[in-house]
Amino acid sequence: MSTKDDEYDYLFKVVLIGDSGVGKSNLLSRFTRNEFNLESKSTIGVEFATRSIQVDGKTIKAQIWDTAGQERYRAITAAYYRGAVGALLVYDIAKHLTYENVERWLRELRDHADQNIVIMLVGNKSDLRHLRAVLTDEAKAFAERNGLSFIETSALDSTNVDLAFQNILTEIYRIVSQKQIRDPPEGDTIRPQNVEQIDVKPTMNTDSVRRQCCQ
Amino acid sequence: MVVKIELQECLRDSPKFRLLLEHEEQSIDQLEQRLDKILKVCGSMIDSGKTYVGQQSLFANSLWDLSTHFKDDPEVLSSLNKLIHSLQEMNKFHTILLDQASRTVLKNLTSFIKKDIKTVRDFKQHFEKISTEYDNVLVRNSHTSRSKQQEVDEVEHILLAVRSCFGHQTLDYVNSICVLQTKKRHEILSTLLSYMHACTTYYHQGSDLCDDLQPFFKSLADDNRFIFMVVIKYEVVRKRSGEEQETVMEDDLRICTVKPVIDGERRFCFEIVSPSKSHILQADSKEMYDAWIEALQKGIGAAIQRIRSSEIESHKKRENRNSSFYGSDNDTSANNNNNKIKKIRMWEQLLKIPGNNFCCDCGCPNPSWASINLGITLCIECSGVHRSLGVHYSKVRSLTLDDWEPEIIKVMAELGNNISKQIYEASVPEGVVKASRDCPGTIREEWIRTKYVEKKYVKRFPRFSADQSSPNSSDGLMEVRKWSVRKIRRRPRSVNSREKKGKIVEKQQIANESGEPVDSATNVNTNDDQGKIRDNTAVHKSLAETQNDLLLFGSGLEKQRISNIDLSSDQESTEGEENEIVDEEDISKLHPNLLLYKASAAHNIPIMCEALALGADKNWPNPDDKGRHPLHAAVLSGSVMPCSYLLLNGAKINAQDQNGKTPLLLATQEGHTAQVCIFLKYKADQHIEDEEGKVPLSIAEQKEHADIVTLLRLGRLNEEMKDSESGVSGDDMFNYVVRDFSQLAYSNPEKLHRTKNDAE
Repeated sequence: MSTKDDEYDYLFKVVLIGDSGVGKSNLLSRFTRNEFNLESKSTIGVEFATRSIQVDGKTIKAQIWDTAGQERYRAITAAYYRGAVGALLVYDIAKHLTYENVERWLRELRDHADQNIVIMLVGNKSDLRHLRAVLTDEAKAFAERNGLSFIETSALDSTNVDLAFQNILTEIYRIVSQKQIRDPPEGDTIRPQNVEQIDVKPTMNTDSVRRQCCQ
Repeated sequence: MVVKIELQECLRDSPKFRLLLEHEEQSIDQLEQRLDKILKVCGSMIDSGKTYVGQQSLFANSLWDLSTHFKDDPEVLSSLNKLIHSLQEMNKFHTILLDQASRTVLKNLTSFIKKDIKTVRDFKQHFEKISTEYDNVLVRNSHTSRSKQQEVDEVEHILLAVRSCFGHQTLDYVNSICVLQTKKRHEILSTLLSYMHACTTYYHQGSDLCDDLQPFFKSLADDNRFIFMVVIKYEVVRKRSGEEQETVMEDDLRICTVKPVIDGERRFCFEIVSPSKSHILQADSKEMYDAWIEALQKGIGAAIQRIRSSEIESHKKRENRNSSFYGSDNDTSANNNNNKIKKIRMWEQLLKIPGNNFCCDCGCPNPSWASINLGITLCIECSGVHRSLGVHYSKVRSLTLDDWEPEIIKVMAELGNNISKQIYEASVPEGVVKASRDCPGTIREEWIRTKYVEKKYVKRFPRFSADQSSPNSSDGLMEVRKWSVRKIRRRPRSVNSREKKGKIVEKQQIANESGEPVDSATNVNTNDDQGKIRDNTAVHKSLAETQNDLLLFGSGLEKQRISNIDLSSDQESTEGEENEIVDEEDISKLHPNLLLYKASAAHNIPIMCEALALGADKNWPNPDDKGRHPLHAAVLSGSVMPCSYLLLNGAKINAQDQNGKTPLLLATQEGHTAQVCIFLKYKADQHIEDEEGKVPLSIAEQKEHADIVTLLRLGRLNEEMKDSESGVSGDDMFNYVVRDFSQLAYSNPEKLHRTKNDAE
């Protein structure tokens, strides 16, 4: 597993979804261990990896869940999506079918994940230029229509892999930190429980009071 | 005091005058010293007073700060503001008082010292000067010779002049002393008087302020009391209307209990206890107290009644929900409520188990506690005694307050008070005083201790002690050569997964048994009906009975079984089992240890319970079976229950057999997801290698068992998160997924089966 990050300010759970063979596990290993395996077997069950990044001087620990794309491993769907604040929906730019199935994955997210989950559409295998079957603009337009962010990556030559994770984590961070200012968290979500709340109390009264009394 | 210097004496400048004068001067010095001291003390008094006032105003400011907390609660806010305002008012008065002190005491006394006393001092200086001069003249006069008439005349003139001057000065001086001595009386008193006036004003103002506030205070106190009353009413109203919204003191009366508070000092107190908190309330009178308790109890009863109808609906509702990680979790409360409903349902279900609606030890009705490792229900008093035995004897849990994992519920469902009593009270000698509902604590304690710690009333195997020729022939024991344990079967919930045993699922428990082909002479094949007849005709004193020469443990259990309990069934337990009993053993090997081992393999919890009661070692490695512990045997049985039961009773979770395999590894190897789940829940070490150097994860990956792989990886992730300092979230996630899995294993086991089959 990845190196231990002993301290972090936020812990975000991010899931990797998409059809079998689009390269989810390699995206994960590239991001967390900088490894790539051309011959990697299909994932059994769920794999986990973590990596911490810095955003605004805060340490954000990403706990990434990588599941098998195959139907047969779906017994724990609910637990898989539970508490996930981000999802990388991956397709293979060289296989149009995997792109067509993106809608199906979006439905699954709608059914099982939190409605506010941040989703990024990831066209992987961008190194296979000569085999491209999904146009960048088409995917980009689709992402815009559905309110997703979009990026093309290559786990093989590392293009945009870090950037993809960095972007989604930053986006989540922005939302969560703003949300925290608006209303303090409650409940049993994955939101970082180790983060100390800084409660900014309105400064009303104190000044006027001081003037109004005795001095 | 009044100056008593006579003018004559002044003019004469007599020694007496000088003495008096000296006396007066000393008195004035003393006065000055004391006044100085007063000034000093008064000064520091005012200083510290100012500090106090400053702090008090800070106090008020901090209260203002507090009031912002109530900015959304206008009622509290206005009251609070008024109170703070009053405090500030009082503070102001205090400031004025200090000001007065400084103006009266300090100013007056200082001016007295600076002016009046100084005047006297001035006169004294003059007096002393003239006195010296007078002395000089007198000396000169006396020294002047008679021969020098002109000199004599001159001296006489000077003498006359100086004497007269001296006279004036003396008089002036004495006068100033007199004035001072008179003035001091008035001055000091009037100073103090005005200070006292200031004090009076201060207290008066305070009193006026308090008078003004009195109605407000009263209304505020009433308000508070009023609010309190409203709170209670809310509860009553809510429980009547069944609304979940108006949460005031308790969300849900259904999980509350009411009980009198006797040990407190106050009278008419009662307590409303819920899982998370308790409220002690006080009534005005005995009548009110009784009325409240009755009303609340009725309310709770009514609320519980109503749940059942709405329960299914709300259950459906919950399943359609998704939690929201950004938004305020609306459904947490719904989930909580659902949990509460579940708890109450669970409680009801557990009380349905034969014998469970009366405390297992004293017979008190409606017990609300349980011992999870003994599988019994207890009243609160007995649960206290059980607690005192220590967790290795009894693990006490609340039926109403605690969370219950499915596998523990299952163990409870397998046992129950009737079965437990058959084991632990099998041979109670006559004359032994059993605990009863209102018996004294010592009897209760003695009874429970003897029962579970000394295990005195457990029926020993007569077959051990008695040699083969003992006159036990009436029991047919003479012929018994073999023994075995019957496997427990429960009615599966979902029938579809069990077509191949269509006949078997008809019965909740099958009473047939089949011998091993090894010993064909004892091979008895009976069908269900015959088995039942046999069971019905047999006399069951113990949980075992004999059939031909086979002593079969667990066959007598059917009678205590209940037919309609809606607790989850042990789905996995009978996968691929063809035999209804475990391998037979020679009667000479009948020993609690082997009995426990066999019963574990047969996932027969009552017999496991009996074996433990007979003193079986829960960590006994079976030398004839690869040194496996009962827990290994339980794993191989395929059922979660015996694993759960053994773990509850302190079996070692990381025990290795001769091949170095831990129960977790064995469960992984066998592909028993639900068992893996509970082992991980009990924090089994998944890094222990077997003799081939394999760990559970490598085996699961090799076998491509996705769910077990996931669980094991999740366990590792959890360890990793825990290693880092703040791994709470990881732990939560782990627990959640494990819970998810175990729920799945109990409610929809076919899903896990499907996964397994697909993977193969």
